[in-house]
Amino acid sequence: MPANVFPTLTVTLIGSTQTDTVFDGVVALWQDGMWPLALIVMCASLVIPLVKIVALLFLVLSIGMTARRLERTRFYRFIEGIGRWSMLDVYVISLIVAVINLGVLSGARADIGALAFAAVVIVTIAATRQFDPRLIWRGDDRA
Amino acid sequence: MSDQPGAARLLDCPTCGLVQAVGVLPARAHAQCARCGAVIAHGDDGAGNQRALCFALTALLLFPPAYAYPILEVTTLGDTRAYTVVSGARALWQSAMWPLAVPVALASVVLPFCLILALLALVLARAVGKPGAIPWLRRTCAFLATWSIVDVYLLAIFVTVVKLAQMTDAAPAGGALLFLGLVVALALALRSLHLDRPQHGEAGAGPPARRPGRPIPRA
Repeated sequence: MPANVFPTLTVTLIGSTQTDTVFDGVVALWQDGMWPLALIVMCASLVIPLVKIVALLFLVLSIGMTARRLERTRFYRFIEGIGRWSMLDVYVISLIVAVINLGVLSGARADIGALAFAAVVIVTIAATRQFDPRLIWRGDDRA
Repeated sequence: MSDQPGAARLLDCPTCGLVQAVGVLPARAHAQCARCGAVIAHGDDGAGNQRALCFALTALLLFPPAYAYPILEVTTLGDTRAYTVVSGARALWQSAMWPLAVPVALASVVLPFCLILALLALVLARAVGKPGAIPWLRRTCAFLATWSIVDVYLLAIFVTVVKLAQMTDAAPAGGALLFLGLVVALALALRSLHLDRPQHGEAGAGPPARRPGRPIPRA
């Protein structure tokens, strides 16, 4: 159980540092009038990682309970599937930095927020792999 | 546990741990866990390995052009520049953000290449008949498949084009199609191999591929 909890806790700490950079981008989109896109970016970048962290925590803490195990199992499968998609932000940042730096426009740097974001992605993927879904069903098989 | 075709095997569900007897499955059929519905076995149609070989070779052939040709072309003030998949990682490295460049380079370039090689090795091991190497090859492939995040990169190209459209004239370039082909070939190869469950008669038919030997935790 500690092995499952530890990666989840680290992620919660790192997750807080990246809100500024993403928010700036969202604000810029909003001001430009492209608010549907702003909403999508906001969803993908902020909401999903937070949801993943909370979801994993919920799965770990609910191990002892027997209620709704089938739904929790499917929930785990879902989290496992979408984990890698948060990497989208990191890739877009890297490409935009490439375009700006190697192009005509003035220089740009990806900031510490992007690094924190990548760390969140990596740690959440690792934490999801670490979680053994068979723990959800632990109570049933006592010999 | 009998290895003869036609004998029922005892398999444990990788998701919920329930041990069940599975008979021989017709080709392209799947056996689902009685308790949680996860797939626990695949029907073997005999050509899975060949298909996987085709897809893996296709991926290998597509790899050099997909990463060499540009995926993105941007025109600002009459000046057109081209960017490849590697441009992203390179730019991060050069802008003093190397801690970020490393995972990006790994997930988008290095690990996918290693995955292609590992898939080819697995296909060859199954074809030539080296059963001892297969369990750890399967685990290696599964590990590399988790951390090769290339399908997301495709969407990233699109999102970048959209984001840049406000300031510059940006469009995807020819390499993006090649990259798309690579992603599809990889996905099909992985599907043909069924990495999560061992094939009939192979070693490692007990614990699931990604947690070798770890018993189900008891109270």
